[in-house]
Amino acid sequence: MAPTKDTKEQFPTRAGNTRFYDEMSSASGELRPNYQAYVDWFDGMSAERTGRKRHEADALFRRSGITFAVYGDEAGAERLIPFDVIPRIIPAHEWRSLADGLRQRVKALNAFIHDIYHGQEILKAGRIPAEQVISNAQYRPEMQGVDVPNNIYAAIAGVDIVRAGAGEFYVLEDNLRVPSGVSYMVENRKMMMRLFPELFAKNRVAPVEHYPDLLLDTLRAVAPKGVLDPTVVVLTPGSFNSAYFEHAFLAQQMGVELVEGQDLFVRDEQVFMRTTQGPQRVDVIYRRIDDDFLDPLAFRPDSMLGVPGLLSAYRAGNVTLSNAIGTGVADDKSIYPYVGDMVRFYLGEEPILNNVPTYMLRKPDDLAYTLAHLPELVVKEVHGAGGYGMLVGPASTQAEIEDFRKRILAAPEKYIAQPTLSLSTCPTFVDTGIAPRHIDLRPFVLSGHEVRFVPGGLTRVALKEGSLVVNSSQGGGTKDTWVLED
Amino acid sequence: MKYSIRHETRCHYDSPASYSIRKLRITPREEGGVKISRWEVNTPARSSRSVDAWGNTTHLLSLTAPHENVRIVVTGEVEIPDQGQALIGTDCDGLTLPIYLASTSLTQPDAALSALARTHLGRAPQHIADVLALLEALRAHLRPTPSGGEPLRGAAESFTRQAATLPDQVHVLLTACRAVGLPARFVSGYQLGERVREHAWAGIWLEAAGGWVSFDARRGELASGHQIRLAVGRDYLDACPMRSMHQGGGQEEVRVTVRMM
Amino acid sequence: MLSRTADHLYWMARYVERAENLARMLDVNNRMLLMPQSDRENVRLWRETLDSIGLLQTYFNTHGEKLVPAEVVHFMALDRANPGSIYSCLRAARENAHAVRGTLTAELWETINATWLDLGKFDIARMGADELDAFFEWVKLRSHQFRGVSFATMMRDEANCFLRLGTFIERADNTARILDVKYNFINEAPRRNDAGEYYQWSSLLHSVSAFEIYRKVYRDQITPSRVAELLILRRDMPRSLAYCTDEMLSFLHEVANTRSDETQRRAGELASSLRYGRIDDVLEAGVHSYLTRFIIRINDIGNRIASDFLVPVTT
Repeated sequence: MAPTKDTKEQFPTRAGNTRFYDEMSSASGELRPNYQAYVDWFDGMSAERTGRKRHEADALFRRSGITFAVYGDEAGAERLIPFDVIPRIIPAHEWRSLADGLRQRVKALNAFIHDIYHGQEILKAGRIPAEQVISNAQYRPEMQGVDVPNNIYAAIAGVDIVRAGAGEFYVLEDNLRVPSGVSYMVENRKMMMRLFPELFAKNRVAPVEHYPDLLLDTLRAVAPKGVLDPTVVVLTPGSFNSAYFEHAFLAQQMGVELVEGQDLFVRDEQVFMRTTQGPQRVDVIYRRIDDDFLDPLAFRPDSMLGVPGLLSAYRAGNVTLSNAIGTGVADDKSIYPYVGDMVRFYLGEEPILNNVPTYMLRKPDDLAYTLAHLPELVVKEVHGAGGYGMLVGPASTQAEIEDFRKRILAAPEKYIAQPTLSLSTCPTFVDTGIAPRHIDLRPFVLSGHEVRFVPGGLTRVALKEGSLVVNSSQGGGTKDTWVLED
Repeated sequence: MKYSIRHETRCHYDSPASYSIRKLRITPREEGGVKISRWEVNTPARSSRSVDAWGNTTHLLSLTAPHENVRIVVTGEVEIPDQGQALIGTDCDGLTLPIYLASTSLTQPDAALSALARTHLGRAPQHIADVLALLEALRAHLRPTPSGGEPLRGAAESFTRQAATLPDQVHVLLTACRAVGLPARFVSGYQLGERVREHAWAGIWLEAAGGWVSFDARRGELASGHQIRLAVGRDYLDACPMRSMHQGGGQEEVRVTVRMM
Repeated sequence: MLSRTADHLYWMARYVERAENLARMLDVNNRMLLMPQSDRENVRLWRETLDSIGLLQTYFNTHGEKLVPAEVVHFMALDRANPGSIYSCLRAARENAHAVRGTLTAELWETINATWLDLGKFDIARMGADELDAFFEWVKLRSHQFRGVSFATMMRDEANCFLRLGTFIERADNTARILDVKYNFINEAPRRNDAGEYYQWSSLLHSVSAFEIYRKVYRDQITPSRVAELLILRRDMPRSLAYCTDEMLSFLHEVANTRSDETQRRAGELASSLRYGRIDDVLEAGVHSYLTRFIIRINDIGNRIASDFLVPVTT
């Protein structure tokens, strides 16, 4: 709803907010320094202009086809992820420590994946129960003993971070398979610069638009040994996939081909793409298809999306897949509680980023505790994703809780539980004006020759009042994320 | 004892296929005293040989010119130890065995099957006799159906239907064993006798017996010593002698003949 | 360029062209029917038309063996179940366009998409003769618009070449079929007065936008051999076989790859035979057998283009 001319929105959080950490205001109601310049600018802007700009953003997103969700044949229904024009602003010192933590975490995760497919030292040392890893559905025996360039498995990681309590950062989830959302990070920034160019003159905001360049660099860095000028492609499940826009966006921005499985074929353990000028060798595949669908000769035989023989070419070292096959075991919710141990084991360091305390319901003690405290906890399916199959205790009815209790009891090993975090909030435009809404942050961590990222990431916001679920499939929106430079 | 074997696979397409690719697992595993003295895999074009995650020798063959027929002829000589070899001690240990506990799409757990497994195999250590008792119960429950043209249904569906093809009989047994924490694997190969024929077994890791023990799910008995293992894996898809895909060509018809020479 | 991308562009153009030529074919049949003639002849015309585009059996399967002209028109124009109808062609064109939306200019995508969306507004069952005319005109116009927009907005690169290849191969095929059916029909019809025959020939010329051209070129009365010459051999007549094969050859030349030598040779051979051919030889061989051979040859080249550059036609 567009605000009318004479009702100027106020940032309600400035009156103080004691329940949650607010990104803009302290508990006593004082404006945080990182928001000072922004709020000064906002106060000087007419309500009419803000309203107009919000509409403009909507129209621009729609016109450029930056849409989400499934394309339905005749209707051509495409949906926008709501974009909020109030940025999430992170001060330089906070980002530095976050960045250090992310670098450390992703290094440890890559070391872990390498280890479990080679010497398995961490299992031999008894730090993680071997069966937890090896019998995990995401563990791929096909990767045992396979060397990948630079020992990088998760070249692209999207680590979900939330802020809780008095403002500490917690890692909620490490997405090491095919994390998405980065196109929104880039497009949100372009949109903000287009709508409010003056803001970027007043604030020293670290740039993010060069992400595709960094990604291409990273992908080239993990090319098979001896390939000097690698051919990189983006492999998409096709135009009916909900993230197709992002696949097309990244391919176009990197200047590489966007291919589907049927465009590739394997001959003599090498991968080629079919072009009008004949077969062309492919060296690096940035794949946006899950492991199970990659190769119908090796995995699901009914997959129409993959390339038969791809696994053989990959194991022979003739092509790089990014991310590697079998990274899913490291971001599995049942392995998540051990990431701190990985940091200590492989890097000999103490973890910089916090993990959320996690109860593993396959353990009888944890199960008993969880069942006794369901109304306070968040319970998640070990293999679930996208905010489905989860119980948010404090936000659920008694009936929902009892229903979930039955599901847990039927197969406790399928669930973990965590305390409900008081996610931080950020002022956000809603129907009634501006109100605090819960947010998270997904920075994208690239590992090639070294770990690199663009400052910030994608901020997702739960638009429903009180909701803690930020997934776009569950009605979440996004914000531009600013990291201020010193 | 020495066996001379000829294994021919003929694939035919309704019309010329523009491309086809197949992964072949048709080389004996040298384990349990089995020795290969000669083994030749003849394919219509160069194939790439490698060893897969389960230690099986595989050949990958891709054909990129239009073709209607693919003929793969394997000939060789294999020496089988005279004493039985239902038991094969292998180098599997606490770090590799859990692989064979993982469920796959064809070996998804089923509550009724798990319950049946627990009545026979509920108490460790499990012995060969316990597995045989379970097999007897399974044989009473599952009607064997011929494999030709039947789709793979997996353990849970087969158990519910009370009927199973050979590969699914094996899947049911594997799933039951895994439900009680016994590592179990799919084995494909040749059954030797008067004649030689393709067959599939279940390999079950019994600590008490000292390693992998082969069971014949169809006959409900220990696998005899007269067998040649071509491949092992978590299920049929990991261990079957051939998986193939093609473009164009319509339906693919496959004929396999194995004989002793 | 990815073969799949080229394939979608090529088929997008073919389907638009096919829709246009179907409209032309239906249009000329409708005009011929305005002439006094027996029902038997009437049915013969539709039977031959359906047969020429390979849809006779499909029609029999769905409508029975009795040909009802009004039903045939609906079957060929808006029948959703008929894969060869104008409706199905425009849907296929739009599906191909959607798959390569990123390769098209925004204007071109919008043209194709809008055509598809507008198509839903027509309802053949309720159309009178006038409205049918208008519908066929609309299809032709949208096809012209498609070519115009692509000509004016697309970069002159490989994408453009494959798009044009699709247009000219389809047009060559379609012109040959239209001419084949009508040439036969008129010649075998019972002898009538000159006016009747004139009307038949002129409606054929109208259907391929060749009436004015004929007047300009020959400045004389309409004769069957000249009609054949114009539509087969005139290199300056944009719907003639000679023109289409010339264009096809030059676009093929631009995209040549290491596998396409034989395809180029065959295309060159075909184009030369038209460039240096004489109408007397065509007439001596028989127009029908000449066109039948031509259709086989042009489709052979189409299949070869698919396997050399695009996604091979598979079963």
